[in-house]
Amino acid sequence: MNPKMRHSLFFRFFFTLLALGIFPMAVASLLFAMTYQSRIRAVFESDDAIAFIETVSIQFILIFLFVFIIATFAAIMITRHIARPLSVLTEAVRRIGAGNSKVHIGVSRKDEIGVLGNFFNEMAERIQEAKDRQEEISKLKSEFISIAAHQLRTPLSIQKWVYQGIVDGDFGRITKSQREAVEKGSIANESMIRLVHNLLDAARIEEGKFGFKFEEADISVFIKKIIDEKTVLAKAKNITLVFGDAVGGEAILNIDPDRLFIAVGNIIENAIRYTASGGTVSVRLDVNDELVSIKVSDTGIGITKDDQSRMFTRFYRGSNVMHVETEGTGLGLFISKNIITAHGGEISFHSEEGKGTTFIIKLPLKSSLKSPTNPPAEPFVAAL
Amino acid sequence: MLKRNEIKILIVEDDKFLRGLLVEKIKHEGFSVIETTNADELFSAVSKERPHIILLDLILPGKGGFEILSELKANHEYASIPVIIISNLGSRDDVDQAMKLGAVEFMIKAHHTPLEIVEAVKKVLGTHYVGK
Repeated sequence: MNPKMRHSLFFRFFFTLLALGIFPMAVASLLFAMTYQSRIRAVFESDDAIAFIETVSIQFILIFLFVFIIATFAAIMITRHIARPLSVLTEAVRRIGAGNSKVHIGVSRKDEIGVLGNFFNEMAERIQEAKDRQEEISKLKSEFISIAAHQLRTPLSIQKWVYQGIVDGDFGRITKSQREAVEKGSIANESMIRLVHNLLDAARIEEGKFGFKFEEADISVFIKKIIDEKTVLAKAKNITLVFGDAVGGEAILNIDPDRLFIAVGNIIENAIRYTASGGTVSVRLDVNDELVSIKVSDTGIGITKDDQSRMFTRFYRGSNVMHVETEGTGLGLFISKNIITAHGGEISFHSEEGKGTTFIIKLPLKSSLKSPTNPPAEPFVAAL
Repeated sequence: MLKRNEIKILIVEDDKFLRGLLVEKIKHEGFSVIETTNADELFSAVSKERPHIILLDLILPGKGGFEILSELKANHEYASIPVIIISNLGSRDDVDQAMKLGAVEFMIKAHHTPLEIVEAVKKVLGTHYVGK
């Protein structure tokens, strides 16, 4: 980040000082020459005059050299005094810009630069305070979500058990319409339970407490298991779930099976959920360049252009899905993305409204450098 | 082999309503049930009744479920009684801790019905007492 030499402070000061020294010298020599021409030349012998001129010329050259040296030194001294503190400040500001606000500059000067340094330190402290406060608030928020979710679970489990008991006839025989009503209640209850579960996961991700346990696994077998489980949901909605495996047991990955099951399961479940009855969801497994890709394509409602940039944000739900499917929590993709990132992978999608969506999950092979051995700690990025 | 009504299932659950629902379900299956609500009741019931299996909640008034579990497992007389955790906690840390302390199963109340809990009880009884 060094400025170019000719733009540097040193050269500016140097040329200014040099000009300040040389300009009066030039005026003095001009005046001297005029005086010499009009007065002195007539009085002296010509030999004496020549010697005198030579002496004066040498004196002028010496004085010029002296001015040059003084200007150089003065420029160096002034530059040091101004440019060095400036570069310290620049570095400090750069660090704050890069997100490290724990910066403090030692200030011993009492001049304008010292004042600037003091102001800078105050500002850095304020930024740090604000950051601490925000972190504290975010932590409290996550804790609050955790506690609230736990508190919600008890009444939700009571409801669940009661609904189940009624349906099972534990409280006596019920009519068909009573059963239907209870079953509706039960569906709402289950979706609340799922929401609470997702809330707890999201809060744990944010608190950095969502631990990962990695182990080697055959990705084909793993995906097949997810497909088998989601086939029930697909059949219930009359959707064809297709699995194309181009890997065939030849790719071993380092994964946390439980967590990755949730992540990939969410994506497949979304595809089924947001595809109309009679549609197709296809999952394709491929391997290339040390990466395994899992492509989940549907023939569903798609994601609008406006929604696309916010798909992985917490609680965000597509504007076109609310009236199709009321059940989503808006947390699934946030959770999936975090799990996939912790696996050293990435997730992306492309979508056309009304035609369908394709999600692509890429995960590093066990042998590749990106494969997680020590899971990276989830940084707490909070925007309240 | 023991008859169903000779098999004693001990429940530690402080929520009266939940406990009632679960007890009904278990009794319906023909098992005997011992109901307790805290650590003191549990330990006196364990020494008196010698249950065949314990269903343990984690959040309890007074001594918590984790502490109860580790005390049970530290006592060589009671250590062999299988313990199923039935709680609304359920983070990976909670599950890991319970399993490490010697629980045989961890069931989250909001995710399992009483019927599923009874099925798990039967399975554990089967592997624990018959399988050996």
